Amino acid sequence: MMSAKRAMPTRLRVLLLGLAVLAATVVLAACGGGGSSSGGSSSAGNDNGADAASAPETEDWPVFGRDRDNTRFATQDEVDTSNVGELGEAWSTGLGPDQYLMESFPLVLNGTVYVTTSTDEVMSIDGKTGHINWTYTPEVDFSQSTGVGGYGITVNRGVAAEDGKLFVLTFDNKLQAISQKTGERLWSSQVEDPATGAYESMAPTAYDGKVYVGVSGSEDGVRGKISAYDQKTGKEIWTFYTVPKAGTKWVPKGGGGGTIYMPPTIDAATNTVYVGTGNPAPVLVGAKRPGKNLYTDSILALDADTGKLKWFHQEEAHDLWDYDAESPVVLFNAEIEGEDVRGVAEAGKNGLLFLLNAETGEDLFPPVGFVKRHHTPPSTKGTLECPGAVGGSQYSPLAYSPETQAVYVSGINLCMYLKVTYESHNGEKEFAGDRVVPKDTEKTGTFTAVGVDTGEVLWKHDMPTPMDGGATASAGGLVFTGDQQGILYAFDAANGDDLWQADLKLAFGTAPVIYSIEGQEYVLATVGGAALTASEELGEIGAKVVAFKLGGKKLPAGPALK
Amino acid sequence: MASLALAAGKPKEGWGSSAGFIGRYHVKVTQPGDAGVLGGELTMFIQEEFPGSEEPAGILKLRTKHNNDVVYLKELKRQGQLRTAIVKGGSFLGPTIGNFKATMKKPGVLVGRVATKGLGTVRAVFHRYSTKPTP
Repeated sequence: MMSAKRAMPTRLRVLLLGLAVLAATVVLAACGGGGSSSGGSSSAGNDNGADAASAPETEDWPVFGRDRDNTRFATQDEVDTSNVGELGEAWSTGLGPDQYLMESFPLVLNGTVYVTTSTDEVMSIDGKTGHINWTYTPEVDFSQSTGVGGYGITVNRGVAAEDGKLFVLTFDNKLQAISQKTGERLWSSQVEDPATGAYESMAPTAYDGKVYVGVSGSEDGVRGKISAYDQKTGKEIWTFYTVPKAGTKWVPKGGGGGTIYMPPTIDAATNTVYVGTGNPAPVLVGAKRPGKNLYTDSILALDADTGKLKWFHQEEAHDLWDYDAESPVVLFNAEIEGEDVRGVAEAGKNGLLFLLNAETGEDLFPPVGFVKRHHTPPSTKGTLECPGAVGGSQYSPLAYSPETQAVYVSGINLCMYLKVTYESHNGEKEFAGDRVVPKDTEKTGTFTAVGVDTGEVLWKHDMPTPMDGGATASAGGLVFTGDQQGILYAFDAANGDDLWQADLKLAFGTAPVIYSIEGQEYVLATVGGAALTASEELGEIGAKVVAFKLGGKKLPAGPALK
Repeated sequence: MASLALAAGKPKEGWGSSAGFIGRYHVKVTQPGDAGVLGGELTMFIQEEFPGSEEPAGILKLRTKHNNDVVYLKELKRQGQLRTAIVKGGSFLGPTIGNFKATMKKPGVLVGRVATKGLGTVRAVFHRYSTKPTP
């Protein structure tokens, strides 16, 4: 429930948040930072990030999660709980022939929308009209998109922007810089050899002259890493490997893991990069990889300048179920037992939400379950795992509202049958078994608000389909999310009331972004399905961008939620 | 990230039991279709499928002026020199969006067409330049 403190005006709340961050920065500088779990030390952060750490009053959506804290909280409040019913379509733009997936999270800069397609095109679209200004079409080798339902599938989750450049990762492991104005390519760097089985699906993160990127492909034994590249030249500055080299320590020959699927989050106040990592490999055969398998399925805090590890928090030690810590990390400011605390949140594929101390990586509260959970170690006889490897929370970003002091979690209830076979399959040679979604299995979702001051569930919706796209909150007291039927929902962020729906017919693999042009607020949805939609035939798929505004063309609502 | 079902059993008919089709092909377009396809590449991973198998068969990338178009070949069949497949969108488990039909003119050369909802009918010659499907 919303307290009097939560009802505080946005501007005041933002100011207080900024002061809290500044205070935390001073404390960090005095202590010299430092990690607990890993024992690593860090350099002190700079103190010029307080503004970046709070939600800025911008018209645009300039970075992946709108602000550096990755909150997906828009300060616009023209569309609010009282008038959201008047929201209708302003324009709609298709993204090309045979586009059948859409996991791209757009940016909006100076009223221009920048969105990628599943086949790595970058499109510049007028945010007011939907007119395509230009399309950048890279030459990409897609021949290794051999995955079925997730691994190696051709998706592109968006661009990063800074200093007039856009940065995009192509499926075949190229980091490319292009002109924000013209779409002209400026440079291209190979970040990993595709022959390793690695591929790219994530949006990079651009910050302070660097571009931060990871690689994907744990199921093929790819060695996970996060690297920083120079924005001007494309040259590598540092690399942090998330697991040891194959054939050393716990990693068997051909094994690997700890790969990365979503953009890192930067805390400018402490100069820290936060990122989640994926599962170890071989996936189902734990006996071949003894121990905890660090740093797989973990949240990592790294120094932004050097890549030095500050701390780690492993969500699933010695994972046997493909329970990545895949979704992007969100930073928040909590008040816990009277103390201001800087926290990080991440929702894992194991169906647990983690709320951690941003300085130390320690749990602020016990992990919060948001989907059905029961699983046993896989065997040659076969076992059922819930959530399955496409369940829990996949890459779906959380939203955090400083007005409700809640994070909003997208959940997937979908169990899988696992069987160890020790066999190597084309496209995922280090999986070591079979996994099947039983025909009669439940395919539903959840959408949950969890208080960051208490670690308690504030409200929860059981959703009719898996929730893959993530959440977006606004100062209008709203939180938006979309389902696999193509229904876009606006809930009251404080109590979960279902205030508005629009049926877009195409499934959501992303969460909306919010921006304003000439004082007019737009809610922009990218739809077309996700890997899950395609593999489980959960609905029609295609790809388009749809903008909504007050007074726009009304779209039909979906069925009422139970 | 996750992958879904993988299974084995008695092979379906496929494109034949030899490895004569596995590898990578240049796509030389002779009729560009509705979207104006300029060229592309075909990668064949297997030419026999198994009941319940969701392993990749073929990946076809076609390039237009403004788009990369990537579709997936499944349910490989043969009749004499004719080789056919259905075309799926999004992934190997995606919806069926078209079909592929080609004649083997000589080893390593297929002449035929692919038809999808988005591209219309594209006619092309497929020249195998590598017997390895991996880079």
